[in-house]
Amino acid sequence: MFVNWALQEVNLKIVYYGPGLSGKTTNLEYIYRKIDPSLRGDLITLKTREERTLYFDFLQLEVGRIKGMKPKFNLYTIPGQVYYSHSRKIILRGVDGIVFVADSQADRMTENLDSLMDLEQNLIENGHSLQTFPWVLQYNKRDLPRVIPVSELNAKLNFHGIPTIEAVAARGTGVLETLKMAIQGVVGQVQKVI
Amino acid sequence: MMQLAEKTAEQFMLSTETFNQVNEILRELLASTRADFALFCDTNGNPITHHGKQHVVNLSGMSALAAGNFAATSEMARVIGEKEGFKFIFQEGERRNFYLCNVSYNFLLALIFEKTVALGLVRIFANKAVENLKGVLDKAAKAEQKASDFIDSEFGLLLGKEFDKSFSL
Repeated sequence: MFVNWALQEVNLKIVYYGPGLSGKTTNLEYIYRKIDPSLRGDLITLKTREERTLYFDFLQLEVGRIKGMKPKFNLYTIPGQVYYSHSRKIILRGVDGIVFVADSQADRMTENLDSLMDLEQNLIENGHSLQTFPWVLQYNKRDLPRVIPVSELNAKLNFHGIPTIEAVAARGTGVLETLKMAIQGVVGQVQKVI
Repeated sequence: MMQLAEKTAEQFMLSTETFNQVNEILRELLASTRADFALFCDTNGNPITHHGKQHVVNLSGMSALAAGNFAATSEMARVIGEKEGFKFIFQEGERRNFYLCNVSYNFLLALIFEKTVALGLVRIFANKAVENLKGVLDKAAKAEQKASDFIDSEFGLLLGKEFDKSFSL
């Protein structure tokens, strides 16, 4: 969190984490299309030639003033592929809240778990842990065949009983609700620290 | 007391006084170097302030890229055994050049200048500005106000409403 008193700005960083091709960039693209253009910057994407996220995607949003302060949300995605470990560590620096985008398909469970363990490891290195850090779980791609039931996803991924939401990011289903949930989690965390 | 420039905590509070002092240093830097544009941001990618001709329209995007670029380059330095990292990043363009350096651990200074401006001049005055910025940030008293002083349950409620308005939910 960065508070600039001179400009009355509160900057919060939210990172979309998850395995490759789970739909992190798709979440940001939908938010970019949906929000009032006067309240967002450009969507910056650093992609490979194959249209995969190479480093990160970035989008800044702002909402109206609250108690005189202007909240700004810096949304980042990470590259999901296993070998971009260094990039993920860099992007997590200064993070205030996390959206973990899990792929609901049965054959992607190992990747979901690996990515979640990678996240936990990186948080621990930064002095945090999934047990206490504000994060939400998005079960994406619910429209595809052979998806795992939510109860099973909960049993395998949601071992801390955190908020979850079902989504079809390609259609925008659950995308804004996920972001709102993550923002409320960050605000709740600030209050807990009092 | 841990100094602001070295502070590694998750919450940064920048007072109006410190902000004004940073602005003054940037103004002097542009006057000394004839650089076009100076951007001061943190290493998490948050823009803090800027001066000069507005070549950069998307300041938040520029800050995120500068922070990402600097962090990636620092990793490259580590890989080749440069424990202190590289001192600066320099990119040469057709018309304009780009210079980026860190100010202690938590902040970055970026400069954009025409090809006619000598890199050596920029380096000398940027180094001086970095020292001045470190002095200002080190002297900055720990902010008395914390985020939790204004981010309360009412803030959370109002934020939810503003969020819905932004997306016409």
